[in-house]
This record gives sequence, C-alpha cells and structure tokens, in this order.
Amino acid sequence: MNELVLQHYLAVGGILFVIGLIGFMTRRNLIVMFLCTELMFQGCALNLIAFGAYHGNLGGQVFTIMVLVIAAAEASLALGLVVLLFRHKHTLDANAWRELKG
Amino acid sequence: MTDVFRLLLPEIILAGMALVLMLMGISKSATSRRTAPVLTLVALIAAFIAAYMQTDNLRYSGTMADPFNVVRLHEFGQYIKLLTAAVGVLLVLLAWPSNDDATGNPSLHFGTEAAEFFSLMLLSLSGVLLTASANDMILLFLALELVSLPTYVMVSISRPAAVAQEAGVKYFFLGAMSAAVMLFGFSYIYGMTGTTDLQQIQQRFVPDENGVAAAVDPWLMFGVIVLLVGLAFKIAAFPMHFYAGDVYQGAATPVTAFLAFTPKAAGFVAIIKVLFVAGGGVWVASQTLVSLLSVLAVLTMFVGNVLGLLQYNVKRVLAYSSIAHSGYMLVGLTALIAAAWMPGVNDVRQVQIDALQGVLFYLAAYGVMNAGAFGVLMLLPSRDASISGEAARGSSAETFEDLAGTGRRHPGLGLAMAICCFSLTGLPLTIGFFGKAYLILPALKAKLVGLVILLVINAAISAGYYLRIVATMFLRTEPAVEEGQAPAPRPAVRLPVPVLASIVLSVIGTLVFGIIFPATQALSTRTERAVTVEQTARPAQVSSAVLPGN
Repeated sequence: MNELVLQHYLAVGGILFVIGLIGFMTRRNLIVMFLCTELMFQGCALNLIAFGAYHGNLGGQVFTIMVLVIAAAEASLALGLVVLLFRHKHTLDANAWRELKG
Repeated sequence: MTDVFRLLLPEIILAGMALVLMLMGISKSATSRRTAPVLTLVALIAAFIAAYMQTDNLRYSGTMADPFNVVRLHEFGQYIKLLTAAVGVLLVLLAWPSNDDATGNPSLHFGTEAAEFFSLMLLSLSGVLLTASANDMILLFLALELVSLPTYVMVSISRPAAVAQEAGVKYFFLGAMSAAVMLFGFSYIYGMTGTTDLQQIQQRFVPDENGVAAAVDPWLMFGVIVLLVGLAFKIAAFPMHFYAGDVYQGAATPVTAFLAFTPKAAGFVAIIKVLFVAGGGVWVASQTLVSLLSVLAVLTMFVGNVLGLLQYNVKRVLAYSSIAHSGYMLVGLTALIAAAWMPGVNDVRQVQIDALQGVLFYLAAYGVMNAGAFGVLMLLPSRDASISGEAARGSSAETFEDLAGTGRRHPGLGLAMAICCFSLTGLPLTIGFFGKAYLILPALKAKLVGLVILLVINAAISAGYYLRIVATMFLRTEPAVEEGQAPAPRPAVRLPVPVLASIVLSVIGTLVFGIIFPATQALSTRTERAVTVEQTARPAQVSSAVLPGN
C-alpha cells in the first residue's frame, strides 16, 4: 500500500498541469504566467518519465530531454519578450497591454 | 532503408541556409540585407527541386523510411513539401526589403535585422516540411515547435509599433500554453502504447475485419482528443482561435500573411497524421472523434464568419476569415473519418480519398489566394493620422477607412483584391470555387448533408465581408480633405516589384486553376496521388521493418 505505483506519478503530473493551466488563466503577471506554462510542461515531463519507467523503455526519457530543450528555447524567448515589453510600459501586468481588441 | 540525409534533403537545405543567414546577420551593411532575401529564395527553390527529385524514388518504392522509422516520406509528404516551398516563395516576395536602405518595405520594418528575419522564416518553413515527414511523436512535436517558435519572434520584430510587440507576446504565451496541452496529449498516447513510433501506435487502432473501429483504452482516446485540441491552436480553430484577431492585426501585414498559411499548413498536416493513426491506417476512427471534429468544424466556421462580419479592421476581417477557412477544411476532415460510419455510403474508400484530396487542394488554394489578398493590402497606405514617427514605419492600410476609394486610384491593385476576395468567397472561375466544390462533394457522398448546408450558409455569410472589402475599394470615395487644411501629404505609393510579382503570381494562380479546367484537374490529380499513396502505406508492410531492439 505504501508503494509508489504509476498512478501516483500520473496524479502528480496531472495536478502540476492543471495548476499551471489555472494559474495561466487567472494570473496577470507575465513572468508568473510564463512560470505557469513551465509548470504545465513539467507536468507532462513527469508523465512521460513515469510512463517510460512503467513500460521499461527509453522513449519517455528521450522525449523528456527534447521537451526540456523546447522549454529552454521558450524561456529565452519569453524573457526577451518580457524585457522588451517592460521597456515600453515599465510594468509586467498583462492588463497594461490592451491596444488590440475588437 | 534510405539514408536519412537524403530523405531530409529539402529540410536540410532550408535549415542550412537559415544558419548561413544568421551568420550574415552579424554584418549590418545594406548589402547583406539586400542579399538575404535572394539567398532565401534560392534556398526555397533548391528545396523545391530537391523535393521534386524524390518523385521517381517515391513512385518506384512507394514509401521511404530511415532505419529507425523516425522519418517516413510518401507522396503525401512530398506534396506538402512542394506546396510549402512554392507558397513560401510568394511569402518571401511579400516581405522583400525594398526600401532605399533595405530596412523593410511599405508595411514591414525589421530595421537592420533583415537576415535574421529571413532566417526565422526559413526555419519556420523547414518545420512544416519536417512535420510532413515525421513518423515519430518526438519528431512531430519538435517539428511543430520549429514551425511556431520563429513566428513569435517574427511578429515581434516585424515593425516598431507597440501593437506588434503586444501581438508577439500574446501569440507567444498562448502558443506555449497550447504546446503544453499538445504535449499532455502526446504523453498519454505514449503512456498507453509504450512507443513513440506513430506506425506502432497505429496498430492499436486497426479496426476489426467487420470494419468496426477498434475499442481502445479510454485514456488513449483522451490523449488523442487533448492532442487535437492542442493542434487546434495551430490552425486557429475553435476553441483555440481567440488569439487570431489580435495577433494578425498587430503583426506587419506580410507576417500576417505568413501566419495565415505556415502554422496552419503544419497544423493540418499534423491533424491528418493523427487522424490517420487514430483511424488505424484506414480512417476508421471512433465515433467520438467524428462528433468532436464535426462540432469543432461548425463552431469554427460560425465563430470565424460571424465575428468577421463585425470587424472594422480589414486585417482582423482576414484573420477571422482565416478561422472560417480552417472550419471549411475541418468539414473535409470530418467527411474523411465519417465516411466509414455513415450508413448508405457507396465505395467508402473512394469517398475517403476524395475528402482528403479536397482538404489538400483547399490548402493549396488558400495559400495562393491568401498571399494575393494580403499582398494588395500591404501596398495601400494607412490614413490614420494618429500613427506617426518611428511607429508609423511598417504600418500600412488596416481599416476600411484606409481602403475607401483605393480601387479607383489603383485599378490594378483593386482588380487583384477583387479576384482574391471572390476566390476566398468561392465564386466560380476562381480556385476558391473548386476548393469549396472539392470539399462539399465528398461530404455529400459521406451523407453529411447537415454539415454541407452549414458550410454553404457560412460561405454566404463570408460573402458579406469579402464583398464589403471590394465595395469599399471601388464604390466609396476617398475621404475629403477638410476645408482650410493643407491637403494631407499623401505618401506616394511606390510599388515594390517583388511584392507586385507575388501578387501577380497569386492572381495568375487563382485564375489559372479556376478557369482552365485541365489545370485544376492536374492539381487535383496530384493531390489524389498524394492521398492514395498515404492510404496504401499500411502498417502491415512495415511490421517487418528493422526496428532497434531495446
């Protein structure tokens, strides 16, 4: 009963993903929103590793490494964009940016 | 077992040239900015030729795969590569830096970053090519991200106006979120099958001998559905469509044209691949997927067209119309997987071939007419006096106000816009007409009468805003100059040759494939070949392929 099984890992992965999704929808700070997408990515990565261990093959781990690469690329992009925005308005509030609507 | 480098030659050409351009970007001289687009064109043409050279091999051996079965090329993939390279040429011509100092053109201003801009463009296009040849979930995910990541930067650097940066940030954040959703789907598909190889996953979905879809684990189906919802972002379909209006408006017009085609093509290729896998290689997917796709198709069409009617900004109108066009193509995909389910369908296989062929044809048609419409729009100047100074660089016509009377001032541009808009509406004598016809006919044969009626209603709604664009250009008069004011200094519209070439090519394409029926037939035969080979590439032949032991 005390043993960790696949479902436990999946539950944690799913919870991470959902927390990230909810945070993304509700938070308005650009950095926090970006952290929330990272949380979603890490939830997926945890799923992949857990499944990989369950199936006993390396596909999940390889996938995870690739996901980390994508996440790193997105992090560098996100920080660049955020700095660009901060120079314009001196705030990181997403609501300060609403020239586009219709 | 073909060498992977030979299989991926078109992608390697594009990505290699992208790296060369990145190096060229170090130099800030105008010469390097003028050379960059030329090299981009050369790379695209070389990639086109490289993809074309694979024709004989593909005809002879059917499908080519590398030893690890990560890359598989069949005529479906080859068709997508040729199409992407060809439309890519039109899009590069639209972004040609034709200023005196080569820092942009009438509606694009990337400053000194020309080489980087074109490098990103090539990377994004090579992502579409890679999506078309991917046979592994890892490669598919990486290819889709390769399509999207460069476009976030392209939106942000396309012009100095603050709206462009706002659009870039919105696009990036929603794109990252959708990528995570997509990945969640991938993780469950991997978890339930234990492999990332699409063809092995496909084995789980092979229908039984009565043609009934395989009963799969609900969690596997959950993975597929989440994946499709994530992919909906790429094609700007409901429920991930909301970014389109803002992003398309904020980006410079040539980049908007790029966004309306490139990620969408990649998204549709990926969706077709997923449906192929989930249909067990014979497009017999579970009924859940059929109802999901039909609901998405209807909502996407209505959201796009109804919101399109309400817009004041022409770029937003075209953005919502691009959502609607995704909806039309989703109707074709619904027909594709519904054919096996609907009672009374004769010759299911033929209907499936026709339906997929219709989608591929529509993708080509949309790419061509879309480039033409955005091309005309970017050459018309903005009349918004509130935009001035540095932010005005790279800002061209956006609102209906800007378009008023321009058709009479520039009859050629007006005519080109009219032809493209008629084609987007689907009027006869244009490629858009045949595009819609090839989508509707298989849907009718698959007994999806309700969906077809909704599609026709939507085409009628869309005529409302397309004709409004044409009417504004020809029937409304230019805004009068107020009394006592000096006539507004109207920037002389200098028409850059590459952009004109792109418009002329798009219009010729729209008309040739619309009026000359043999040309239409030639294109549709080409798409049909692409589809037939995709269908015959069945998993049964592949189970003997060498797979790395683990």
